[in-house]
Amino acid sequence: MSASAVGVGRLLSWERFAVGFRTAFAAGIGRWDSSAHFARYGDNYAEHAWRSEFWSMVAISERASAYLRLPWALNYKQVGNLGDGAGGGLGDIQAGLRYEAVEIGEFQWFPAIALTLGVSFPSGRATDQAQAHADALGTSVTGRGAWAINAGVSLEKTKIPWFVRVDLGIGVPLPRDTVSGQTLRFGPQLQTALTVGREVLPRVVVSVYGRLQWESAILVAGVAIDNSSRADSGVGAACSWRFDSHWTAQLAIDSSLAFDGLGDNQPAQLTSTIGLRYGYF
Amino acid sequence: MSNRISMIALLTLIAALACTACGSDESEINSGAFEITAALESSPAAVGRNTLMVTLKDSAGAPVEGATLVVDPQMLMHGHGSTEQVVVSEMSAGVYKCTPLTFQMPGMWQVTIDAKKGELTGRKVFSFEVK
Ligand SMILES: [Cu+2]
Repeated sequence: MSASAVGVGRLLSWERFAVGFRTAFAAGIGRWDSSAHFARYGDNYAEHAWRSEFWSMVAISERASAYLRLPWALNYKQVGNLGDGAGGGLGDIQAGLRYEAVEIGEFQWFPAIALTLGVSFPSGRATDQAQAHADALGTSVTGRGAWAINAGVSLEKTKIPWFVRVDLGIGVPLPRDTVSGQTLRFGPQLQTALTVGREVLPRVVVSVYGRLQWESAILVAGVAIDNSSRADSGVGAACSWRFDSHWTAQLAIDSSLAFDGLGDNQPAQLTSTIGLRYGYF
Repeated sequence: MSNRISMIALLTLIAALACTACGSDESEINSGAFEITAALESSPAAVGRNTLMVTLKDSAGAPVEGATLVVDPQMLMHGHGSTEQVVVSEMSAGVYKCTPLTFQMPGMWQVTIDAKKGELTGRKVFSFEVK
């Protein structure tokens, strides 16, 4: 029931594959410093991003499916005396597998359990590669320049017309060499989200969620960098409308909880997303 | 004896507090053969392009001419550096102009200055809170 507006979601049990396109505008509202103090951006700085993504998901067995996500970003930045401008390109491509260990309704009292395992490719441009492209604003930065392995578990309990879902994920970026030749490793990430949704009209599902994310310190040449751990929190709402047996329209809004102590060393954004999904069966 | 120790501790504490309170956005770690001092042409550090004036002296306090300086701005807590390369030019004896010192986003930046002349080397790290 809960075809997700965030992430790729899953195939409906009768679908062979699904493809989708999603586009989002993320307005930068400020940032948390490394003491978890939130400050809005001043007049001399702005960053906004228009992020789009093609994704596809294909059934490889009754319970297993594979997915691919091709993100693209157009960034706008205004940086003091550098002025403003826009740029972008391909982001970090992600691919992975999803396994429905327990399907929805398989056991009456037991939640559905899905496991995911994926990889993120450093196909986007990292900040230290921007210099070679004469991009002083850094608008062409669309990735972090590191491979990452991601694993997740999703638990979902349905009681028509309601559902509750808990998502837990870890991401482990692999070490990479910077342009200056040092080995840099972003810290492992832990993400969690709680979603509650309801079918409000036939084929129209509305959900709200809260999310938390932590990332531990960056290691440079094996040494942890002070104050480089990160945290982020946000709330959002999503709506999906299966207006045709094949087609679903998706709408979502997400906001960082831009208050002191609810994030750390991280930008805060307000993101609006629209998407369209086609399921083939 | 214990009074003298408390007095030293108190003076150290006052000195430490005075240094934090002096409002500078620079914290400095110096090592090597040179005395490296630096000041932004316009302070405080702002997002965008800045210019850093660096003065290089030897242990006797004489200006060091013709040294090679490498200036590396890094936003360590985000794991990235600057989007522009700093170009260094010597303006007068021992005075070096380093520009553009580009901070493409607000936050804490560390600027490492490596100086080299002949066999002698020196390093100093400055921190800037960029707004
Ligand atoms: Cu940064």
